[in-house]
Amino acid sequence: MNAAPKQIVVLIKFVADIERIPQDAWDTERGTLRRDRLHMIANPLDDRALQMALELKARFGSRVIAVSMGPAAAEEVLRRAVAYGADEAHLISDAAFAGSDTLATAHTLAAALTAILGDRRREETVFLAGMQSPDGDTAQVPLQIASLLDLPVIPHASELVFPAERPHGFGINTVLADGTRLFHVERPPALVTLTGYAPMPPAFLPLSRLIEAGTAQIRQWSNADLGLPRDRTGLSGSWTRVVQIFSPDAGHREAVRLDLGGPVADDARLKQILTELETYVKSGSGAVKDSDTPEEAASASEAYYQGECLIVCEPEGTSVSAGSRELVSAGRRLARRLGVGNTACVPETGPRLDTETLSACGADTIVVLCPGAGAPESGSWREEQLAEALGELIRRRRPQIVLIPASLHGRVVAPLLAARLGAGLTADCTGLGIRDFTGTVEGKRAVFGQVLHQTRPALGGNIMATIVSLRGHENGSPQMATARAGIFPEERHTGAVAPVERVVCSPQSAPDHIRVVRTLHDAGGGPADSIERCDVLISVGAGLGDARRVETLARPLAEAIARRWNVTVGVACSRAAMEKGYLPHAVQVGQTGKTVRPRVYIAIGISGAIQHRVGMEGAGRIVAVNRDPEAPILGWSDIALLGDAAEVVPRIIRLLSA
Amino acid sequence: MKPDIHVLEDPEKIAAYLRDESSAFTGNAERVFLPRSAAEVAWILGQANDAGARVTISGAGTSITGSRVPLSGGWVVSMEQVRHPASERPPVGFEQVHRRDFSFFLDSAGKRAIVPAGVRLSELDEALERFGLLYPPDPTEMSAMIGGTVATNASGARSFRFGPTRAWVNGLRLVLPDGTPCHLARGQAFATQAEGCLAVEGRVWRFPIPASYRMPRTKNAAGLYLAPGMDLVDLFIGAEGLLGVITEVEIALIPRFGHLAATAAFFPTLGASLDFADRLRAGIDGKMPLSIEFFDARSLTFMRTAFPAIPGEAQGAILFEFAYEPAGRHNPFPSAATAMAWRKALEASHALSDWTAIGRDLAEMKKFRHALPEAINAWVRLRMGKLGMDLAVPGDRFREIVRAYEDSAATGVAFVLFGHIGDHHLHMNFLPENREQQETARRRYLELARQAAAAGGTISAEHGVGKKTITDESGNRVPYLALMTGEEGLRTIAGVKHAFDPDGRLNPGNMIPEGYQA
Repeated sequence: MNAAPKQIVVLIKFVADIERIPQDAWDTERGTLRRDRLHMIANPLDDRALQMALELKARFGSRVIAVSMGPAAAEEVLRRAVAYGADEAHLISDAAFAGSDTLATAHTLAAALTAILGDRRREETVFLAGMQSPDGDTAQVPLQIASLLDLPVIPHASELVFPAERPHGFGINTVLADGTRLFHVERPPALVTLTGYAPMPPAFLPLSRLIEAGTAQIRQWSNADLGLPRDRTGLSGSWTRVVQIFSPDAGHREAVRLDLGGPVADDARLKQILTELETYVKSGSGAVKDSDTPEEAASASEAYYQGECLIVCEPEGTSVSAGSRELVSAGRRLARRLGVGNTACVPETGPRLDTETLSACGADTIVVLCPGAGAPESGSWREEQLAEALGELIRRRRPQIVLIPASLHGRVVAPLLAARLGAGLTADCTGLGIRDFTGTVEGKRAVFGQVLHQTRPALGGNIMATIVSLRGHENGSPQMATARAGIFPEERHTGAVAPVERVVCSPQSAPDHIRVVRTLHDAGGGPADSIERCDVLISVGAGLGDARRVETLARPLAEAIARRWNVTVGVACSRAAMEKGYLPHAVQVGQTGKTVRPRVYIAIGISGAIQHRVGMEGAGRIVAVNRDPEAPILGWSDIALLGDAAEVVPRIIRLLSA
Repeated sequence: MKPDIHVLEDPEKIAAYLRDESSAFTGNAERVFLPRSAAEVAWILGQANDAGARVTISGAGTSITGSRVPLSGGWVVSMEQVRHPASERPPVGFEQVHRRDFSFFLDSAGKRAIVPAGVRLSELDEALERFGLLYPPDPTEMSAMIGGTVATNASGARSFRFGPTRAWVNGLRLVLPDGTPCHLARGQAFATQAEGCLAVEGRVWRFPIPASYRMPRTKNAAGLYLAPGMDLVDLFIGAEGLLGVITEVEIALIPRFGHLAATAAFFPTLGASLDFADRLRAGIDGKMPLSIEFFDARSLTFMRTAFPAIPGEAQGAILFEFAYEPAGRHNPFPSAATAMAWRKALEASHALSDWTAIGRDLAEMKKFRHALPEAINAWVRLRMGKLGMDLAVPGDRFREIVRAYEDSAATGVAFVLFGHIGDHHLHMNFLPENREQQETARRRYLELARQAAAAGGTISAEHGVGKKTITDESGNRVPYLALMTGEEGLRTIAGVKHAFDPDGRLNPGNMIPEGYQA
């Protein structure tokens, strides 16, 4: 078969620009979002996917097809795609599609893509999309489309390469939590989701392109063309339901300001601040607060679902990752409330599994997934294979709740699994609770019983949404959620060691036209985990001004604090600093990086974009070192040290070392 | 009774008020007053009268002419806290718009506003945006306070379409040099053929309007506005604070543009760039651009550092902005007919290529526009400093002055030529590398300024003259303004100044250096 993709489909989502949310977008009186106040743009990662598509077009002469599902106004982003170089554009828009959750959206788009391709063969098509969009940040839809259309996935793509030694096809470099993985695509089909830093679309275009964009034919698709049943699209076809939207406790902190820019050194005051911080760091262990969890009202009603809680764990050494252990503890609390068991499921990696720790965290049962005869060892399973194995297990055990760590890996497995099971999935939850759901479904208002209430930030942390999954009751699928590491506390319980069950699975072999040709792990491997665990985190932004200052300012400060206060201290960065190459993605804090909750967070030269804030606002104390007295971060810091980092940081180090 | 006015006396805190953005002037002051209202400004001027103190008014300090620098000491009155209208209640038909730390009056039809002098243009723009309104003058420096921009009749790129600040001022609230508050509305008081007469509460100020006084036939910010039969409001606009302190400005507004496009077009020759500017000035398809800006080949060389994609063969570029009707309700692109008209004009002038931005990409075009000043500032930081000019000439003399600019290459001193070609107003910046070159550039500067003035043009089209002086051909230090007005013109200005401020204590040194005897 021909190695060159005949066509490349790019999915472009029309989203709110979360960097420009107007102050009055949130109607505080009515508790609703004024959507008409939002600036709408193409999802920035989708824009980059389009640039990757154009690179492929330049190489293979493929036809680039831009597709967007959304309101009529989404026409704009499709026209922009044409201006950049897309050959055709399709808008999927119908009132019947409104209110679709991720899985209903995936069903709608899967049907639309099939219709759009028509006679063109899926086997000759590459599909590209951003890994996630900043508004919902669920990272589910493209992967679920892949699952529904049976397309192999290449997640977290960051780079397109054409290696000289492989004349056919193309290479895609992807990001792992602790390194990179290079895929080679011999031929289509494949669905690639971008997480990274392919070229930005050009800001300027010649007038001739604007003329093309303004006059291009945008093919409209409504449900009259697609014929989706009510239970596959729109609100009625959604697996999940938003039961509450509320403004996050804006977390406004009144900063103590200390101006260190002047010639007069106020060392006494600075010293006092440092002493107070030291006392604070040592006063508590762990940085967890669980304030986002809705109050769990006492309930007399029955659980709406049946079955256990099942936690999908990620192996790490002889144990599982910290994020997995935290979810096992969270699962235990939910299971106790429901009066059911809590099962930890771990793919087999080695002869010895630390079952004591898993039991202490809260597992009642431990299930080890083992490959069947002839199947590759589970450590080398691709995400699709793990999703298939888990799917089999879940159909057998019929849990009512499935929790998965929202690691880079988990964020791929969870949507594939949910699409496979036909289950609702809520990504990146910051609160999980069991409460009665009273609501109107299919026109009937009723108490449904106890269901999992999943609370998560949306619109870049500008709003919080509480979500429930109701439809699993019909088809026996579980309520599914993911959560990032550092959100829930890891608990230690005493008691018997949980029994271990070995379950044999034999997922289909991975498609042979897409191979992993190289996997690189960062040396050490530790930093990714440590920034989520340390007591004090020093985080640098682009305002640091120079990559060398990481070594000359940030690390010496970390060492001085570690030595003087006798606590663990890590060094992290903002996205802007990561893009400037100051530090790797593995230690980036924020929406596209890690969520951290240290006791003390020291932000140096970070202005405080909302995307950064959502990754660190759970910190106990926030200290901002900034030259700019108007920097947004000062509005939600506890201590503002105004001045140039090159002067302020050495002063702090000097006081700590005195 | 002494009102509770904030006063700075600590030399460290005062220091910030003793210079401006040019860093070419340094002054000194006894104290800095921070009044909050016109009444407080009036009280301070009254006190200054009694004490015989000189008073320099300070805006945001964005001037590059030293106009806010107290060269000869005395008191500084900073307008930064005059941020609420003088009247407690808005006039009929107006409502008060409150922002975080300022307020202004806006009429319900959205056509007029009354804005306190200490509000910055950027703040005003942000507030008006919420109402879909625009205050059209766009002096490049948006952090300037509106009072300062009226005092200098500031202008910028879009003055091509909308004229300078003067065209948008309907009225002023002032405090005259002796502390008398007064209100002037456009259309209420006019000068006669030979004399102006301002009457406030029974008191009268008279000033002569000699027939010999000439103003340039171009956009202008140099010298007083003085013409037979003039509206008295115009006397105070662009007067650089000689005649009174502006405490509140009544401005005209228009609806904001729905859709804007900005195109940078590159040309194979200087001549082709000038031809294209002529074409744009005449309008395309009956529509006028908002701005027409020019960059010469030397400027493009500087800009390539930030924008390497600028075509190597380009010998000139024109950047122009158009407001347009979008092609459809959800189609924000210009209609094919509109865009084709722009493109045809480009082709007719043999454009090499073009870059066009709409919507959010306009921000990147702003960066393109600012790439030149940024590159030049970086360049001069390591060298001697630049010698910048602000000349404009009438359209029929424009090619002539451009030839003169180009002929300056013979001096061997590097320069760039760029700016508001729509108004026949280019900035020529000499970039000398040593003292000798600096001297050569100064001499050439003098020649060019005299040529512009002789052509009926101006020596300062957009930023006033402030305290600038220049060494003339015979080695004498003379007021910069003299190059344009001559001695007689300076005497006329001094006469008007004397009528309002006989002791010359308000903003001394602006336009006419202290102690200068014409």
